[in-house]
Amino acid sequence: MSDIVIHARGLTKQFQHEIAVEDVTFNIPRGKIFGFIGPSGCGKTTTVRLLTGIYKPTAGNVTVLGQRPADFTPKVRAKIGYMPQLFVLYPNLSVWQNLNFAASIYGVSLRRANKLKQVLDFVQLNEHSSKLIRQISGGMQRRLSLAATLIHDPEILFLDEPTAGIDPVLRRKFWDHFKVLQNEGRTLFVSTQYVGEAAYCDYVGVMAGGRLLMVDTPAALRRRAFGGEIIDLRTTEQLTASHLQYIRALPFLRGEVKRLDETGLRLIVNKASTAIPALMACCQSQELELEAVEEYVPPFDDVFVELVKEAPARG
Amino acid sequence: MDKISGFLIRTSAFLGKELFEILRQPVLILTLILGPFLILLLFGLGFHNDPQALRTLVVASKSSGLAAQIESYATSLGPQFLFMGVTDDKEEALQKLANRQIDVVAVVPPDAYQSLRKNEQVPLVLYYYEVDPVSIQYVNVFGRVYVHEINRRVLQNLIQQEQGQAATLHDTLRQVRRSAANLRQVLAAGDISAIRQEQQRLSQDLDTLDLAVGATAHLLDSVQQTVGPDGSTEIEAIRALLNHIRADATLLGDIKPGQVDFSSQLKTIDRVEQGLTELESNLTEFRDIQPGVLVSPFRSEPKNITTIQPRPLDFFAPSVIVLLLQHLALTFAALSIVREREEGTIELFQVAPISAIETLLGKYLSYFLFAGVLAAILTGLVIYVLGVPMLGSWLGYSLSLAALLFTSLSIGFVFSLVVSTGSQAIQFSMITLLATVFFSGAFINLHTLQGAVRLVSWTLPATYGISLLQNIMLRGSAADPVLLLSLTAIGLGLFSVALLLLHRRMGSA
Repeated sequence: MSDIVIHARGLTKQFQHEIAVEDVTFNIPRGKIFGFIGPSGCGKTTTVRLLTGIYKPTAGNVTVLGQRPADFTPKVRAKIGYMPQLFVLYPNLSVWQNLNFAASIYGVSLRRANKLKQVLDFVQLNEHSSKLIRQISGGMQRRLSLAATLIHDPEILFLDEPTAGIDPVLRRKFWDHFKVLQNEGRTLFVSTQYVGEAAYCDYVGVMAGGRLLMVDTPAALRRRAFGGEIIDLRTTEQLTASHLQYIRALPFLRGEVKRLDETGLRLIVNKASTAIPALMACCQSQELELEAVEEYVPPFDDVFVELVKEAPARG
Repeated sequence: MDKISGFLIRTSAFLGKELFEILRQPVLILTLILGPFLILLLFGLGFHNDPQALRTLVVASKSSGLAAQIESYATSLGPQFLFMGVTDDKEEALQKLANRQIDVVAVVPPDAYQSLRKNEQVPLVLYYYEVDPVSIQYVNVFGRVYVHEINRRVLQNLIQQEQGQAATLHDTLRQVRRSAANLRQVLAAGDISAIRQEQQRLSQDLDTLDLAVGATAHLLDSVQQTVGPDGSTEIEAIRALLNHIRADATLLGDIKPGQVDFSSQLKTIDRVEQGLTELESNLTEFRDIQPGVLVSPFRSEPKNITTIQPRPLDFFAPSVIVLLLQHLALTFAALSIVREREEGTIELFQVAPISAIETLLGKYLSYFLFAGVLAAILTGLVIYVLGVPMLGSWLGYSLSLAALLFTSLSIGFVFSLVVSTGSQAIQFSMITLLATVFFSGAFINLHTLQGAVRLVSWTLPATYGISLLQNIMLRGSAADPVLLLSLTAIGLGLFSVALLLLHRRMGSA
């Protein structure tokens, strides 16, 4: 329990008559990447702001590094890095000046030139350091935002949709950066509307309509979405009704058998690694020649759609 | 130690950031320095303090004597009276006024003499076509001054005529003196009948003199009563002298039959002659006084006890410096925090360990430094290029500007924390500028404002700043401690308000 660095229980935020976040509960262990996924307007940013102390919860409570965000001491604040959803640095200052400013507001020592270079290297902006912000691309601006979040060596990073609006190649680079940061022992709270990015996380919280539907590992979420792991089976000959009847009766299958086409089936099993050999043996006994049997890892978009479908509507 | 260095590092964050942001806008800086300097330069070159010359058309009946007089005065009434001629068509004159071909129509009534006979003043109606209250006031003053001048000319003519009568008086006096000389001769000869005859002639001449003096002396009497020393007037002395002479002349008639010794009469005639000499001297003084001096015995001779004679440019230069600095500091500060909110950077400050006091102090320092450098450059240009005097101490000047900037920044930061958008901040700043133009004494003297409105004046930093700078630069006075402390106190009060508001803004919402 001492490894939990972020603890939220029954967290609720209401703006006048509108509930933005309702009864959100989760714990985040140190050194993990916690992905907070959900569609636009589902309450991700509000949650990040509650965790960073920008907002005060209407109900419930939250602690980060053992302190309530509203009461953060400067010492705790110095351990937190925050990257807002939108780029908020100064367009008339250069990359270097912006980063230097971010370092100053965190009280980073004046002998910080090397530190600035290191961070700019990390986000691959060193050669652009003298350029004004208005002269660099949107992707570079996001990288500079990340650099500004890292300049004071924070223990916990709150990154609010850091990959929003950038191309897939750069998004991938960002996640590579996040992995590096995690390997350095930092905890990352990353909100994103790109559901597929959940796969990079250790834990994923699925948010919809201001509610946290579930928190689990990506693999566990997949299982929860489809009721187990998925196997795609393809035969060399057309599947008959008797074949289907036989397969549906197999004991290790869970849920519906979905016919992909005349020779293909999608099956849900408890555990793919043990189900595939069993399935191959059964087909052999039925003299059904197999072309391929493999585990199918569905994209997280599909997982998310399934999870949201199952979630109870907010009353 | 770490706490202190952390405080200093965080506070200085804004010093670099704000200054770099401003320095990235060279056109803005150039405008801020050159703009007011060029305005002052143009003002200095172009401003003339001469009152407006009014093109005046006189409407009068051609037969009117007063119209003829006005026409004869017109060319010498002064440079502000541009005589455009006399017409007897009032409608045409008013049409010209409506067309703005002339500035004033002066209508002389045809029955001026009748009004005077009825013991009424003659109205000289001045028509004008102005909408500017200052111009209206100017035309009214113009009217009063020129009617006064015309009245003065009329009086001057009267006095000239009186002085003409004084010349007749001198002839009478010379006649009296001749009679006195003749009496002396007959007294010396001891011819009693001749003595009696000459004594009677002398008495008759003295009666004539008495009448002549009485007719003209009241004017001199009035002048002396108004402007002369207290106590008996000079004309009373003249009358007393004349009475003495008359008494002596009567004594001279007291001759006994068979009298041979006339030594006492000779002494009396000596006194009479002395009296007449004195009387002539007094009346000559009166006759020699210029009519213009008698009509306008006083002339204005203003002497400014300041060591310089300030030009309009000198007077307005401190106001322009103060106005610019107040507006600049206030606008920069007013936009500062609201812009951080609009752009979202305040979220970074909310999460970071930087506190409200560090943020506010950092912003104060950066704008203070920038405005201070600007003030130094502007002051240098105003003093060393435009030649505006600097009679007081530089320390007092610097303290006054420092207090002005501090308080202006405080107002700006409070604005920045109560408005929702940058546009609102600009509006607040412009309204303050407008209030400053009207109420700070920059262009309209504070004495022209009613007491309650003047309270508004003293809520504006510029009011203190202008008063302080004008006294320091143009009078060489020390910085008034009451003004300086009051201005600083307002600044500190608003600083506290701004700090409280920013503290709330940077806390959890």
